[in-house]
Amino acid sequence: MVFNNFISTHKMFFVSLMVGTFIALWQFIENAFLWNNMAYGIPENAYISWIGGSLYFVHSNWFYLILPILSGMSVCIEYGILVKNNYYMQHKVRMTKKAFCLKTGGMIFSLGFMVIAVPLLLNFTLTMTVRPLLYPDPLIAVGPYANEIGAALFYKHPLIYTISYILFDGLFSGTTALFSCGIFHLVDSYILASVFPFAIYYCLFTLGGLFQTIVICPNVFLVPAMGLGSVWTVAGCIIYLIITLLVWVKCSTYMEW
Amino acid sequence: MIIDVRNISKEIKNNSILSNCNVQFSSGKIYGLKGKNGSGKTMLLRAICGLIKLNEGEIYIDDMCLGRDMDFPRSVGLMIENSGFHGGLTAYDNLSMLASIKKIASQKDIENTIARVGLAEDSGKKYRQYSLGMRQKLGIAAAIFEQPDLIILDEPTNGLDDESVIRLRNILAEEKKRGALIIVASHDFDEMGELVDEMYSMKEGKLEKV
Repeated sequence: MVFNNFISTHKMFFVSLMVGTFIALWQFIENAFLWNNMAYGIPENAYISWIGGSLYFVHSNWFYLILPILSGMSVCIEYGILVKNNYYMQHKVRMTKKAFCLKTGGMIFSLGFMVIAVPLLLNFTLTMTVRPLLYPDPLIAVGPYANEIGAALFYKHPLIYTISYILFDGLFSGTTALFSCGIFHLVDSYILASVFPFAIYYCLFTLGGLFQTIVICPNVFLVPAMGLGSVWTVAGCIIYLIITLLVWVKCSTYMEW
Repeated sequence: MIIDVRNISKEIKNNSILSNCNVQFSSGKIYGLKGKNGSGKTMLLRAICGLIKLNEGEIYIDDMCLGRDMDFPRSVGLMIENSGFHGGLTAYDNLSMLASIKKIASQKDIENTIARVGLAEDSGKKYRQYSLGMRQKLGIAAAIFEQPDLIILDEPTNGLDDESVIRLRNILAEEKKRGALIIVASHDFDEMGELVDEMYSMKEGKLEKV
């Protein structure tokens, strides 16, 4: 199964990509293109004007809140339909279980990655065309706190930090897409499986609010300007990736369809 | 190719679906599997394709144990239940997508197979516009277009008109002549019976030679 074929059979990917891109373009037009915020005659820094530069923008809040829905929906709905109508069975018997697990898993992950990474990269690139890439100033308190993971990189090499964070968000989104597809085999409902990561995400967001900690809130720590917060956040993300891989391998390889 | 089904059993939620089934199939023959709905025919076909885990017993294909030495039969074409095609694609595109996995069937093979099953006139239509009979024909096409050693067809005559059944009989005869091992499951062998070399009957998960 080649990548082009996979994309052409998963049209919801384009819908999710369009929603993400729409929010990213809306944020750019409203906050960077039309609204030219100047400080001492200097346009606002690109690093704090783009969609990942702050949670001050309503667009950023929306984008990062619905991120798991976009990731889950991008592949899981059509994946579920195609598993149920035996489309994937026809593919599976033409290869080994291991090959199916790796190839299909890789393609699901890639689509999930693109659905978030592309709008973020587009927004950042467009913002760079109208705002200067100035070194962020720690005194204006935008960006990760000095004691947070990645803060040194943000203030020393902000471009590398931002690109790395876009990749991190993409990896998180790819993991979420794969998680949804794995969960589909357990719950046997592609709608439920598509929104399942969002339910967990929202629970963590609520718990974060209750315990007044942002380190467990994905819609906060996925924002580059907010930073990763603590090693527990990184540990949580690694555990999420491991659980996802285990669920996917188990469900795509060993479970009966 | 020799398929040796050795004492296989399958239970789902304490219901016995397959019960101590033993049978041997060999190349160049057509095997019939008849039985009522729910008798376990499809489950036996799924077991032979390596799609289910057995509670007991083993299936050997050319002395290699299915599930241990190989995940699925090396060269298999199958049509089990609904065959699984993408609704937004034509017959040719759907088969091309399957062909892209093994890369053994050429563009010409796909076109020939579409013509063989009688879908050439409707090749421009998308799968979702197909009637039941047309879907069945595409399922048969998917099972044979790569010229597999093992062809498994579950209720292949469902929805087919008389002319298409005759066409299917000719296809099966040609595939048999090529040396393929063909297993056909159906609740009704009125139209196919004379083609079958050996007939088996399934009743409540038990397999008997007729």
